[in-house]
Amino acid sequence: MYTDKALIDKILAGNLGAYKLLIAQHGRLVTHMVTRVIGNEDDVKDVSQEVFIKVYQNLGKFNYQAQLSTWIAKIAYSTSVNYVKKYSSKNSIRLDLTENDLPDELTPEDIFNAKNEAAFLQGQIKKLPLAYRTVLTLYHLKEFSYQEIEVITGMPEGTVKNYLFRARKMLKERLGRYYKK
Amino acid sequence: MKKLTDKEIQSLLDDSGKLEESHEVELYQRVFRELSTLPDVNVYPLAKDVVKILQKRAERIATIKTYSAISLCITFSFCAFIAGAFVVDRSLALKLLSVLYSYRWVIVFLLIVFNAISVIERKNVSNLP
Repeated sequence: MYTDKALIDKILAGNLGAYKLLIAQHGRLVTHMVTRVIGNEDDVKDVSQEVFIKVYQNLGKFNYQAQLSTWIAKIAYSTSVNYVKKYSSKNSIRLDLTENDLPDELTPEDIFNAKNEAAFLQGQIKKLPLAYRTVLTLYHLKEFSYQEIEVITGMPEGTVKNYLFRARKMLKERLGRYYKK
Repeated sequence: MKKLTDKEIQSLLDDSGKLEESHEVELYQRVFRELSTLPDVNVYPLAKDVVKILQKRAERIATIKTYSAISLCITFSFCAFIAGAFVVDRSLALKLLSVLYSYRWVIVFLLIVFNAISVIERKNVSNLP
């Protein structure tokens, strides 16, 4: 098992096998992040490839001040946001959200169409604004700290905590209503 | 017992703290469990494809560099030839230059075409695959 430094040195020396190893180590992180941010499974592969091409091109600039996974997540986040900016409406990428920006009321279809609790919650997560989905993914799925999420997304730590709180509260309330159906 | 607020429940669950069982707590525990479950997405075999793209790019860049080097060598050799001709036979060199001058638009056209191809190639490389 190589350290990040040893792996990067090998890649910078032109060893593409070492780069395959780096992709294998961080592929899941990138795929999950891209999936949650762009919300369009058809383009996940293309956007993920673009992320790793950018990582390769900029690896020489990595300065070891953050963890390699944080740096890669930052590139994955900005690439995914750029994709969303290009193909979605302006509202879907707003990062200055208030409580009123949470998705509309729970519809009977939401409850009726969900096969089970997991499917219902995943459906509700998909409906969240981009900033909330990103924060939830980074915090729960990838276990990044608040500071690391700040580095990755550029959102202040207070905003990260606020979005995390609001999104989880909303999901809890929706789940409560799901069981009252 | 005092009822915990949403903030307190979330914070205790974040820190894996002990919580009294309640409906609210149970709902939060279910939400947290689902949030920590990897979504059902395809993890594509990215490594092979990305490396293939990078190799393709490297090959294209190498080809562009080779053609650029060849064209520079040709230009340099030609300039050296004219300079040499000036040293050996000044009138011959002047004749050569006047021939070149008469074909100046053809030469300018060729230079523009060559540079345009080079710029397009570079753009294509950055837009690969």
